[in-house]
Amino acid sequence: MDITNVLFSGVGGQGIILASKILTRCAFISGYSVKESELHGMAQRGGSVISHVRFGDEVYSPLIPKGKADFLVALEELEGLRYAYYLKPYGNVILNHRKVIPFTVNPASNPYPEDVKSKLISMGFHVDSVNAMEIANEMGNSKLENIIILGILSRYMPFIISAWEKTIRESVPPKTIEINIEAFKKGRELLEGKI
Amino acid sequence: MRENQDNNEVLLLGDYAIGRGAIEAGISIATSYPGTPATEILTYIAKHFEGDAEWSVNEKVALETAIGASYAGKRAICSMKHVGLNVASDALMTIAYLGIKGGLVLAVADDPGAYSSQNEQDSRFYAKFAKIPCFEPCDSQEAKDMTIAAFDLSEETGLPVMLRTVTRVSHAESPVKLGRIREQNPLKLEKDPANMIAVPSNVLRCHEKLIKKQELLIKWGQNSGLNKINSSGRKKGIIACGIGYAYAKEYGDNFDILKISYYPVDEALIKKFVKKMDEVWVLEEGEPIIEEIARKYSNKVKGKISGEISMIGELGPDVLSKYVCGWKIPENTTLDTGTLLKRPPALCPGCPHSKLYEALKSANPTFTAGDIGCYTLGASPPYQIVDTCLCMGAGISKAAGIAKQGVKRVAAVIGDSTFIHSGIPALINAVYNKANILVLILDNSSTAMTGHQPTPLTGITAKGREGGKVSLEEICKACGATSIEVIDPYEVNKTETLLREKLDSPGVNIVISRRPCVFVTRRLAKLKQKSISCKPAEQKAP
Repeated sequence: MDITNVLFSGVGGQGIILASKILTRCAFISGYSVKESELHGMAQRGGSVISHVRFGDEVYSPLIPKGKADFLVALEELEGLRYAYYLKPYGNVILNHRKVIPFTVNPASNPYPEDVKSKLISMGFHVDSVNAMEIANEMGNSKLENIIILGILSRYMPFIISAWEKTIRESVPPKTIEINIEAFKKGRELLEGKI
Repeated sequence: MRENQDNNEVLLLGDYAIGRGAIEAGISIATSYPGTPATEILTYIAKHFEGDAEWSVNEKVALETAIGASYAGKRAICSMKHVGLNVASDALMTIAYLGIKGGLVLAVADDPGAYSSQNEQDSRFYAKFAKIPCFEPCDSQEAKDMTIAAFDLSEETGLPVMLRTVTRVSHAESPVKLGRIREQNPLKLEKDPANMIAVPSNVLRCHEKLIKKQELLIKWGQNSGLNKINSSGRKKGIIACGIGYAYAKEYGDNFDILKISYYPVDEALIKKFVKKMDEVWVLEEGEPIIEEIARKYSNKVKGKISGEISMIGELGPDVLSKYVCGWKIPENTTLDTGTLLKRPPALCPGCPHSKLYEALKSANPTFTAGDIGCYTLGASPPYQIVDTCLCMGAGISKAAGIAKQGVKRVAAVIGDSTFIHSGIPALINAVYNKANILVLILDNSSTAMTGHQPTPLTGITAKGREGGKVSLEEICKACGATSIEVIDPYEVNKTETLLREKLDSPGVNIVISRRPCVFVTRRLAKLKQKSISCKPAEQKAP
């Protein structure tokens, strides 16, 4: 069974479901067996959110078994750390340097974890990190964070660029197609020559 | 990689696939009340079906409306979340006796793990309780196919048929082959008092009729092949129900599998499977219904009763990892996530509820009985002002029950949609039985938690068309409330003063906190912008 497992994590409202759906659709139009699993309702209200995408020869479970994720796409640092246990040994993390401090934080007894990237590296994972919000803001639209990250992920995925573009076109609001494709390319270029 | 991609194949969420199945099966109406993870069944139908699709005021009304359509000879689907079936169960238990005319499918989505629910109840019990057949798909394709099969079986047996899903089927996306859309049934409303009127003179005969159908239901299951054994002669097996099959397949060739997708099950099939096994696992979401049967025929059965699998939460693909070689979670990736800073869900920035809770906290009620919706989050920090949450509509009744024991300054908090769903009888009861409570109705112009569906108070239907509009103030007035005030929760100080006054006032005092959910406001602004930009220049306001 040859299956690629990608886990998206972040905070409700960061566009995790959209990002995971774009990957799912891209795998689908590229001819793979694919499943995606998401959560709605109470879980979405600013809480910790994950979304599972699996594609390959034949996918059965819509959920990734723990310790079997090839990629963890973390749109937020704490949420990256929280779901690292899903990764296989030496798995890949695409880490967005974004901190969304939850209301439960207490600097003395319950602090926000520091240096998440080093923590993940010390666990043996390969980490590509980026400040997607900075790039998104430079582009004038803070909502592009998820698509920039997807651009980075695309370097590792076996899909042709036109499949990505077609999927993005069909998945984002018509008025934002061009800027989303631009954001995707910016993300993709970040890893140019690195892998 | 799949070699030939079918052009007729699309990716669909399980809920969408059920909606598509219902449309292909030739429904004439779909009814529902929003509830995670079932909501998207109706939203799909409302968007893609030209005929009727309605948000009913509650699940009982939704089912009764669907029964009406069935009496008119038409096919109808009624969808809801698991706890919604508690509300609709009154209608369900007796319609099973009476029987239906046009096909009637009840799609119920369970939430094992209670990701967005107040409990983890297993709807298969209701199918058994009502003695109706139940399908349980494991992915979107099966969800669509079984919805269509359920309609056919419904008309063949004259029974409502249940389709049970769980979160990981309803909210998982996978490919579905689209089929052709069957023609709708012709209108055929005929009086059939012996089978439409549940009075004592008919009940026992109707019950007998239902009992006699049971054998037919089991036979239908046998012929359908929906429950089947995949055998390679191994001595280890898994009985996999619904989504359990997807998890069982993760363990590759280690086990023979008995796939269960239909109830009532043929016990002989289970017996045949377990008899030859040295070890049998039962993977079923919810209660150990099949495990109990399997244990009658073998002492090698492992699952929830025997204790290896947790009775609590959902199964997941790791359910057997501990017991199968090579499936342990790698040590170097384990992380003590228990000590990590938690991130529970919270009210959105700018949420009108948060402002109201600020005022309510300052007004300091003795006890606040909450209800089901986004505003339940008022129980969490920083508000911690909601003291109880049980089920839809329970806030007002519980507040009255507490106040009647002599407790002063008791408040109830209920959302606009929940109030319409089941708060009205509780309000009438509080007035009638002379409770002294403050009732806060949080009117944010939507059923927000489930994705901002419209309510009767907005006068917009599930299809986005103009419907009848109901006035909250007029309902409260007609229920005989002592006083009714409407406030804007953004005016925190003014609200606090009013709440203090009303907490100390006798009678059933209502404060309507009115401000649309921030998402609804945004959407309305967009719609407005659109309609302005579409207008010819000369018609623009000066």
